[in-house]
Amino acid sequence: MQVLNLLVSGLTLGAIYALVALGFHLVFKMTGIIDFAQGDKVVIGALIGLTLVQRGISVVAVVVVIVLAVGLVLGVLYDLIAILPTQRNGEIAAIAATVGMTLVFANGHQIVWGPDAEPFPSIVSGNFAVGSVEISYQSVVIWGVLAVVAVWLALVLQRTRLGRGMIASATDRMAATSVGVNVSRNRSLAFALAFGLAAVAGVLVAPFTLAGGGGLGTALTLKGFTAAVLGGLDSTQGVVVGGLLLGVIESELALWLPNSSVDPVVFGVLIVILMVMPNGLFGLGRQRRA
Amino acid sequence: MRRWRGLATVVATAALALSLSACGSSSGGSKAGGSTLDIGVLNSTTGNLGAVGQQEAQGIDLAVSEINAAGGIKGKKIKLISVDDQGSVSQSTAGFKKLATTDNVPLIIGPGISAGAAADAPLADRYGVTQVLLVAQPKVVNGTKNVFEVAPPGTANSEAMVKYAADKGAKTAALIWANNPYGQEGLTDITAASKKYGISLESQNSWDPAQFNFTAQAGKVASANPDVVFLYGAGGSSDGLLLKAVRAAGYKGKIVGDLAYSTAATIPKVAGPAADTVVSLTAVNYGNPTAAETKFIDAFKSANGGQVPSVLTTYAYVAVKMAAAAMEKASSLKGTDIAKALQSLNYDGGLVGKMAYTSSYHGGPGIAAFKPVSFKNGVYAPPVF
Repeated sequence: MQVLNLLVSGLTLGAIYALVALGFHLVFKMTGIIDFAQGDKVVIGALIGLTLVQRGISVVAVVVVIVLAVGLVLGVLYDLIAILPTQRNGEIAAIAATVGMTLVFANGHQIVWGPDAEPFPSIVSGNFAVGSVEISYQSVVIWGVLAVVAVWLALVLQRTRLGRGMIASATDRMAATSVGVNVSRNRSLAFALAFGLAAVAGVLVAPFTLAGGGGLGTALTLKGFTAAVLGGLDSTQGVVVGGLLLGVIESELALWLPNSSVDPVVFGVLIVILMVMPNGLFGLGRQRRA
Repeated sequence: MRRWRGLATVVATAALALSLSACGSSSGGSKAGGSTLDIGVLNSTTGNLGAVGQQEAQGIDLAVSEINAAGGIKGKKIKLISVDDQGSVSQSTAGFKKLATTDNVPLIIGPGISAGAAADAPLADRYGVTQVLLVAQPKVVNGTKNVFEVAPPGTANSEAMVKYAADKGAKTAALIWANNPYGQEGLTDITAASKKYGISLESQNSWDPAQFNFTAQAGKVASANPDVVFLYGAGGSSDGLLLKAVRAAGYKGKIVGDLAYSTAATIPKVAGPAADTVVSLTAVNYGNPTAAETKFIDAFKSANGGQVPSVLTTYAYVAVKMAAAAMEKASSLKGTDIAKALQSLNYDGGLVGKMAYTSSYHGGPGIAAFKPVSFKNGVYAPPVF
């Protein structure tokens, strides 16, 4: 009974990790940069949503649409302010800039919104029962959004000219430019999409995580990145599976192990997996063999 | 010639740096000669534990505004010099040294985070600065000359929790403790107190205040179904999430929380209806306040838009009021003289309890300082059981 409850709870937790991991994947695939501010962008999205709710917008679906639009704009600004100035110095400089942005976001949101995390309304409140297991409607919404975003992202990256152009930009910037790909525009678009996705994820997960709070962004970044590496940073289906696996394993292990031992065991297993499969469960090696 | 000139510049710079550093370390009141009296504040207003420092800052600000409105200390108005250490030990010690040697303050209030407090306490004696910590760990300050606490010890909070549960007939218990130094001490103290009061502690689990999913910990407690569950919080919103998770897991017995569960700004808002089911043992008698407590609570609400002061806010307020009383009594405004005055002050402002410091004990009041309180529909109420 408790194992099943923890399975459901773990799938929700894993879906949250997977949404963050998709942001890592999207930016990496389209630009070659690992963006460590991804978890903090989720928090910023939740806080913007909270402001809208507090201003009287009671339909959370409307809040989601507005937050998506704001997130896309913030993504363009994020690229202009943090990423563009590093472009002459290579990807490491850009990654360092994203680490700096985590501090700006983490401390900045506390100055603007205060240090306390705030409760956030669900899109659909209430639970339903499957046998003896209670499932919240909000969990179902998160699972559904994760599925839609993952399928959409996989299709865009693999089946469209835009997606292939973006991957080309990330793989070899000079070659892509020489064949007419607008690398700067693609990079800006990638960060806009990643911020938009993170912001929407923030509104969706805030009923579970609360909106804001000191350590949430870092926790989401750490777990989202772990999920992405576990599944394979290069693979859309990989990061989704990685996130879900991480959430379920964490939840189930907590039943048998002291809470303080769960993360060390999970990360220990991750190291072993990466020794055997350096590109993650769905990484490049597996794709080639397939 | 050019080489010699360069060497001379280096030597001169080093000499200047040494002399400046010597000036700093021998101070402890050099700013007291002006029309204002500088006091240092060292706490975490941002970072993972930003909520703790911001609560403390509210209490400090109210106390200073009241003292200045009443004429200040020895005719001088207090001016606060604040450093945000972000809950980091390295930033806390760096901030302490800046306040002690650059700003030359004779007295520092804070920090309120255990690790930073433990690192800073030896510095207060070294630099001749009086420090009033906002933590609840007497072992950090006992043995020092210049460092004091106002918060009743965590040990006393734990014992008050267990005694309250035992008085209500509990024979079996479970504990969920925050995995930080404060919570780890809670584990030790609750375990010891349970033995003392004849309660069988059947399970204990930690929780990480930076996380948000506590289904596993809550499920274990619900399965064990003890007479009482003790919750040791971390002073942030996640305390409310943990409480909510325990009730959501189906546990219907008594829940007794540490003082963190008396925080009106977060617990009712985050935990929802579950907030009305916990009894918190806290150092401010919110459920049945005395005249002094009512006066303080009303003054705080008036200055902060109706917000009720948390217990951390209250500790910070008491720390400043007590320090001000010591500075009035001290023979001079040097840090070491303030410490001497503080130790013999026996301060009791009607909040928290009497500060009965001795040469070997610089901690806050004991178990009698803690009173039970609950919430009803989001506002303080007498204990629910």
